Amino acid sequence: MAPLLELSRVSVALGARPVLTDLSLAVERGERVVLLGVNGCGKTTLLRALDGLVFPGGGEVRYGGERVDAASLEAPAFRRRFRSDVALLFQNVDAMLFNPTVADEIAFGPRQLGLADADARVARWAEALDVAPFLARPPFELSGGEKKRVALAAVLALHPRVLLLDEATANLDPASSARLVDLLAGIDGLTTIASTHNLSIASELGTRAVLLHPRGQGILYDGPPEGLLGDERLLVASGLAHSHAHRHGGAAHAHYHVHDTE
Amino acid sequence: MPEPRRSQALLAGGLAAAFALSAARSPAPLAAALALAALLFRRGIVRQARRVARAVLPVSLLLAGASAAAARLAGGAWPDPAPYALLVLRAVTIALVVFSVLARADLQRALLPFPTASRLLVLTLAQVHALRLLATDSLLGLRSRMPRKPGAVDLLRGAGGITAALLTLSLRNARDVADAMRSRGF
Amino acid sequence: MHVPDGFLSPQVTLPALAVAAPLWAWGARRHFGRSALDALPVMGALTALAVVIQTIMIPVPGGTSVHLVGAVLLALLFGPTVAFVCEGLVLAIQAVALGAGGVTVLGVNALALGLLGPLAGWLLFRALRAPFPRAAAFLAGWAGMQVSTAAVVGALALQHALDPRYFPAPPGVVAVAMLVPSALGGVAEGMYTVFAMALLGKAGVRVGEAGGTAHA
Repeated sequence: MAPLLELSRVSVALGARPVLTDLSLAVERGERVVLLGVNGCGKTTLLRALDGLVFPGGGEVRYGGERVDAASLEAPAFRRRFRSDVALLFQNVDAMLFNPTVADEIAFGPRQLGLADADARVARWAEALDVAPFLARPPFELSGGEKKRVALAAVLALHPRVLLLDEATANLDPASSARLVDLLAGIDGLTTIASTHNLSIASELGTRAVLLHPRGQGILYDGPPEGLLGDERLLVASGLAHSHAHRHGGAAHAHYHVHDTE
Repeated sequence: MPEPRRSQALLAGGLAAAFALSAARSPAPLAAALALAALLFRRGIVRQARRVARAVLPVSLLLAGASAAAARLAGGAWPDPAPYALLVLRAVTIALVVFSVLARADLQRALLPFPTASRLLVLTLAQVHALRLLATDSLLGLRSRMPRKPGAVDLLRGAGGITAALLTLSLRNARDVADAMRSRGF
Repeated sequence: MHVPDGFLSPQVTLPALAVAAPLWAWGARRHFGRSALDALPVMGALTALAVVIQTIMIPVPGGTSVHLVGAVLLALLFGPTVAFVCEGLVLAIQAVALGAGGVTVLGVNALALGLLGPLAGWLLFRALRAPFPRAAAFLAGWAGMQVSTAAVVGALALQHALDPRYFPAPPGVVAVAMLVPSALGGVAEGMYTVFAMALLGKAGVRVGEAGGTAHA
């Protein structure tokens, strides 16, 4: 059976600058993938390519075996199915909030797709994300964390099969981060691909870690997160850790270590 | 009356009243309008009156006063004050009515049946919100970097710099918003 | 300088709206595209930018402050049609959502501040930019503001001609009362335009066609 979501030898350039080069990745139904890499390595572009927002110059993206490109997304039936099955939570949450009220925001996706139970979904997901008190308010008035929860409710209301998350825990305090991780873990049958540059939460975000080359030129590691966290050479090569001189209890030395950059 | 009809009626009524009052050429209709507004919109009328006094009254008085003074200088006698007083009264009355109506109408609700207009308003206001935060921070940053109080030229230069930052940010936001809309099936 | 409500009668304000509204719609469609998905976010972005610029107050010697406008800057960056569409939206939003008044005179203000001023600035800039880029930017900003104010003065003069009891101030008086402060405020706008254009050039924002812009 074809993988649920797949990149085959995908290359994406933004303007003249190559961002992803010859990347292949296959994700099966139900997998929880954490996409790791330094800032600027192309994680966002990769997620956007998976969501059919950016089309590769080389290679192809497939969902359920079908090609995802400008032409295939013209077909209304496929577009509706793809847009409801695959959802992306943007890193820039402000960009996701463009409706007059939180209720409208959550209902936007379902309504666009012509689903009849939009209001029921709004109620359910507003409750689940604890934003029900804000339903009548404009999203842009809320705090950063509240906005993130509204955006998440808005994408979950689509009942997607695949949820793509771009730096989902950025700007969230540890408690909210944990709540988010628990929420996602509790949704059965959901496939997630979550990007982060924060190694300390990598194993919470997924059971399969995919490490991207610092300049998007391939995948340096694909396996359990624990395997990556113990691999000093790889961590330094990917830019997620580095070695510099520092002191422990009076003795100065240099060894590699990871900086939590959250 | 349920929304959005209520807000739509209020806004339409307010707009019609504003145009009608702008045709007034005697004090009577203006006085009547003021009395009616004081009655219908008495809740919050003081605040609206203060806003009018701040926003509209100075400009109107200034223009009327300067014109009258200049006419005196040119003609040698004070001009008839009645039309000038009427001008100011008209400006103040329309402003009070419009402010009072806008305070009571929910603009976004009223626009709900017009998705394009509604979305445009929301997108713009959301961006104003985001850009204003950046602009305020930038101006504070400017102030904190200068040993002396920034003068006009410093502020203008700072404003130019902020504009570049705001433009880049707003256009990037615009691209992201378009992508987000597309991603959710628009 | 804006015209406040009550200074112009429907004889002037309604025809102005009748001209401005279709022109606005045409401009919006032509330069922002027919697809709402492409058009709305960019329109919103540029309009928001102009709104925020207009909240910036510069204290000037003498104890008062001037507001920046930015409409000419928009014209220099994106063309006069974009400037008109966005500035028109700015005025509408300021009138109904930000409590600035000016609902009956929206058409007049849009034509004066959104169309005529920025158009004049843009033409001046195009004429002068090759030999004198900085002076061109300054003059465009300054002259654009004067043309806007002159247009407002013209509207008030027309009203005075139609009915001197309605608007009693003679045109000469109005001209002095408005153009002198405008000439001074225009200096700030001119300088702002120079600084903004210089920095935007460095930031790599390129002026694109049709409302979109490519940038590094």
